[in-house]
Amino acid sequence: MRARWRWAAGWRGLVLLAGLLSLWEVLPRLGWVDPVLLPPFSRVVVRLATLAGSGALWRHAGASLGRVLSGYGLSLAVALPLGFYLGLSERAEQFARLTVQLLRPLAPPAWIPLALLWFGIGNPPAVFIIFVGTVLTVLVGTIAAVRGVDKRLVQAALTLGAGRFRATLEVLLPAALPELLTLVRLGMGLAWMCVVAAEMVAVRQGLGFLILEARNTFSTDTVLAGMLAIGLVGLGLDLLLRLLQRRLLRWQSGRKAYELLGDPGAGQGLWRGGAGAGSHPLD
Amino acid sequence: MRRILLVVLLLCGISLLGCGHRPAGPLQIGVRTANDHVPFYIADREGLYRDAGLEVTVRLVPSNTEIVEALQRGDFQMGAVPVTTAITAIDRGAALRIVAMTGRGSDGLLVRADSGIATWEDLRGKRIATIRASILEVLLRLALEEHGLDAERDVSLVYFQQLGDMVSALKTGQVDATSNTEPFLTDAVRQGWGRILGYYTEQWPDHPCCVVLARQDFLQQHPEAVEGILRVHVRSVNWACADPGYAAQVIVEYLQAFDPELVQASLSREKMSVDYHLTGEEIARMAALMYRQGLLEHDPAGLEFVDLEPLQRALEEAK
Repeated sequence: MRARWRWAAGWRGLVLLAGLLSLWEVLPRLGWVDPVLLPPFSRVVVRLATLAGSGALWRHAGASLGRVLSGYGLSLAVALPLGFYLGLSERAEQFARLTVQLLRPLAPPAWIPLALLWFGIGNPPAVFIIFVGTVLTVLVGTIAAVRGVDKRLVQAALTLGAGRFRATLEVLLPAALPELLTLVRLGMGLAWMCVVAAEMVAVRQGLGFLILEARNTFSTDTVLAGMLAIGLVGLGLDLLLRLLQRRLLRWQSGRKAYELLGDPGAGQGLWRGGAGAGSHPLD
Repeated sequence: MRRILLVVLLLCGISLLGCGHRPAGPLQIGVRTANDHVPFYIADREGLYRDAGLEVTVRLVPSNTEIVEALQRGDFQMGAVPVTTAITAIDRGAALRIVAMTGRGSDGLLVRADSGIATWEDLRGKRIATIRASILEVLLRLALEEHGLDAERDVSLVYFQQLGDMVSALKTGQVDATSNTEPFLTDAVRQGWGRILGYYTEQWPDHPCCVVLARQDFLQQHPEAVEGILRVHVRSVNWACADPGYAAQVIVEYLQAFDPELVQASLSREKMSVDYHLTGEEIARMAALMYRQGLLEHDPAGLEFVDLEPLQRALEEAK
């Protein structure tokens, strides 16, 4: 039953996507939309295939992937432990709050002139822009995840004789883990959103560079092909993170309250086909 | 139901992309903050369009690409952009035509005064900042070639998006040279840290720099409006040439940067000129150069870039 619902949901998702892609194909072909502004979907796919065939797509995607993994990896290395600490210490969080809130609204492109002055040209400023574009969001999310853990869980562990370190490691961390992993996935998306801004800074490869170069030459099909490539690489990385999430959160199956609500007649799940492991709306 | 509504909304949104014709309000001309766009600033400031019976709004836009995109959408009917931007857009199928010039020269290569780079030969192995697919890259490649240097092998081109970022990169030693434009070139020299290795007018005297673009449908449907705008353009170009001090003052007012003295120095004849004259041959030469450099998709010999008639008519009427 569950498998059937999941299969049906998958098809429904594809139908919507196929419908939108068909519109994208048909509207410029019928002349309803200027093809210079929006080339047909098939032309974008052909462009993507041409870029892949020439090897350019892989070079650009590889360069962007390297920058995203470096910048975002650095961001996680800083934000997760710091966020955990600030989540535990109210005094420290109050100390940092004003600075964090002051810096958080700054969009990644705003950092470009400074990135250039501080890190020169090439990969370092691009990595810095991805880092700075993600670190504060992950930091604030981590603080919220730690603060969101039920006090009674930790209290129970302390009452049962666990030390502060053990209660943190064995109770607080696992309890915050679902939210942290979702945060890591959202942050990865954010890192990809920073790529175009990051690759405005003196680089000659990368999907962001490809898009910007194509924009300068009014090659809208290449702009869209670059965007599609970013979407696909992002999707692939998200799939990997979802697998990791499922593996680490196996203990969570059967705890999904939303499965008891919504979609009468659809079996279970507010999100159709969402029964079973990994049926979170972000899945 | 919700999905149907979503699709309908999306359709409406996409359909709006295709609506690009004559607006109900004033005519819109998109320009940038650049020395050679001064004729539009003067016309705007002095109310020359109004005097000619035209309802025109001059809009300052941050980038050349945005001007062309707005022209394609129909937000603007005319605009001023570098000649290379105009040629690339037409090559990619944009229904636009070049109808007049706005400026010539003004681009060159800047190095640090203490860099030890005294000749083009000294650039071998150096990093040069430029903007991809721009007039600064096209003319830089031409200059390198004429000095016997290969842009791919002998130097390393580093691509930026902003003129100011390239100047910062040069100033701080991230790059060894920048292909840049006025008044940045003169500013660096006057500040004492920069030296102009050469203007590209040495390779191509009076090369076209910025041009006036018009939507093709606007040209066909409202030729009198285009002529009127070009008459005003000719008048304000003449005004700028006759009174460079005033032109510099207006540029500073619109750029909200630099000082009038610097801008006036950068407007000197050996560096650049404000001009409206246009020939099909010079545009064809630029297009051929760009094609040779791999910046165009189609052989420009088969493309139409220029419509000279409105300018000719405007000049005849002005007589």
